[in-house]
Amino acid sequence: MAGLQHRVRDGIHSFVEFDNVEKHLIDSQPFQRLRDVHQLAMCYQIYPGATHRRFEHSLGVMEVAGRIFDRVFAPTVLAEDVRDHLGDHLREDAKIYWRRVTRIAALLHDVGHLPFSHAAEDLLAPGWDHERLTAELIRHSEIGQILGRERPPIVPEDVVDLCWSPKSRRKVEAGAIDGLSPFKLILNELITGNTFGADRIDYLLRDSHHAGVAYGRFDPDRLIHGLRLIVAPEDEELALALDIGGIHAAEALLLARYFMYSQVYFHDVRRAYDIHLRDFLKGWLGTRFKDGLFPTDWQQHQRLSDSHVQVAMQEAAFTAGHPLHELARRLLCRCHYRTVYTLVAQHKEANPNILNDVRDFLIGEYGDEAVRMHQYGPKSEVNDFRVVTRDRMSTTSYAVSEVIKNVPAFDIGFVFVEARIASQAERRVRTYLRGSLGEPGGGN
Amino acid sequence: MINYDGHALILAVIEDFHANGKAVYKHQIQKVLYLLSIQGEVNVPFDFVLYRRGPYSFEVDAEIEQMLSYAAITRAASGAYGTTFIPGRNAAFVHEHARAFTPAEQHAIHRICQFAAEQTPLELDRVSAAGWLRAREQLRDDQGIASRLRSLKSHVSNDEANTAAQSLARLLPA
Repeated sequence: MAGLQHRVRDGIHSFVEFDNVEKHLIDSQPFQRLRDVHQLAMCYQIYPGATHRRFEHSLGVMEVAGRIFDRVFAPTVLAEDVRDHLGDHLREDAKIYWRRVTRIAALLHDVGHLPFSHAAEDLLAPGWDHERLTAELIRHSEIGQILGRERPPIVPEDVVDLCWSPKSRRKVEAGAIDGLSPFKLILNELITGNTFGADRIDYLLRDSHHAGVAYGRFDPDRLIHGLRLIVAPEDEELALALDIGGIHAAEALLLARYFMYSQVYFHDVRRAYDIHLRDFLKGWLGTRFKDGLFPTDWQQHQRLSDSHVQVAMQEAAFTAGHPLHELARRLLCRCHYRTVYTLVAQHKEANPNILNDVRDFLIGEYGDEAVRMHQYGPKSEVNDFRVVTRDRMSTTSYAVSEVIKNVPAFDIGFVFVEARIASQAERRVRTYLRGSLGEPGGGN
Repeated sequence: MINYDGHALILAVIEDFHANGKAVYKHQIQKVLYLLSIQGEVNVPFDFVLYRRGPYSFEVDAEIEQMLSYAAITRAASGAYGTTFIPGRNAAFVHEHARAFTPAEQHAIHRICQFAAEQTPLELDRVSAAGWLRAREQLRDDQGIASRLRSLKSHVSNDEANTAAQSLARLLPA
């Protein structure tokens, strides 16, 4: 195995260590570009410390993925039936290879991100997202050459298989998912998994640290120490599971995720900024590219990062008469739209379309340009995972943890309007809700 | 916008199990819907991929979340194979907004639900995977399907693979 010959300090994991091939990948242009892609878009407008970038997050995900791999494939942790399933994958050379692929896939999983990360992914041509761009870069850029120079060579397609989440990949390469072995699916889950994925573990810890909120903290070491592979009784395939001793660490992670989503990622003003950022990018792309969309050609994609957008934004904000002047001012001069409606569960139960209805009502009152809407979810089911009890029986997280069973679903919706009409619009929304839902105070 | 027709189909599966005194696992809903999609009597507006446990639809998963959020369905309990579902207090809302099923569609849904309820989870996985091989890989004879099933799932025995192919042939004659 190539030794870990390099290390850098990291605010979350103390040190991140890496070997020569990982260093070459880190030094590559696609990876260095991540120094200029904010992890949380313009969240720094609400949480001033949240200026961290995809670069350090990616290093952190590699570190965590390596730790999880070492834990779940440790000889003392592997049960007999799991060893039978793994077969040749447990040969020392195979294990070394797949450990490297896992760490590299974790390192590279975000190289395809657009400027300001997720803020404007819908401004890509249909069928494209940052994960597909990541695959393009691994397959065609200097990354593929670096991987090919290794002895034995690292197959770029193996890296793609491990870092591209099946949920996203099935939209464009469904056949590739059909062909993924259970072993590769497990390694993919170590990185992209909803509950124990290295990506999620790192971003919750890192984002909460930089945002300066305590919500995202949990005990990653205890969590990782509790992970193991099992043969799942429901399909007799390999599955990632948690020893019962780690259940409180998992509860803490899931609560951390809930609080981070509700307080940071889906903070209403942050979402308003995302909408304004998308509006600005749409206008800006229209001036640069014929189709008005982000390029999907990987070489052109590499030339765009946050700084390019920020320069354009400054120029537009401080130039009266610039076609993007108003859009840029919303972002840089805190002229963001204000929240006049927040989705609540009892409204949705009375009318599942209430969010759209409120938006349409306000558009009818004030016009299309004065109103914006954001919606996310509902999502909840990802908390249902396998747990191994003290007597080595397999059960589910819902069966052993009332906390996990009751973590609320994310079902988030906001309607925003221009600041100048916010007070009046809010009153009108209350009246509208009284009329359509029969609610005394509008409940807002 | 809410996909009421899709919700009505999911609800119909849950209601069928419920009418027979059973709660249904998400995994069973997925497999019933896939089998319905290849049966062809009912329009199933969801895409499927071949995943760990056979045909699986991420869209069905998302729509179940949506239905939970307005109480069209509700969680019943946590069992050995995950969460089970029963109709929720707002189930009538779906019926009001969705297109009603024809008698032929209702019959098709009931027939496949009944079949699914008689299978163990592993058997249902194998039958639906066999269905995938017939529909997507154009495998026509039981032996070819069984053999391909074995190549996909090495732990599936010859007997289990043959039984799956034969069960599929009985349920949905080619």
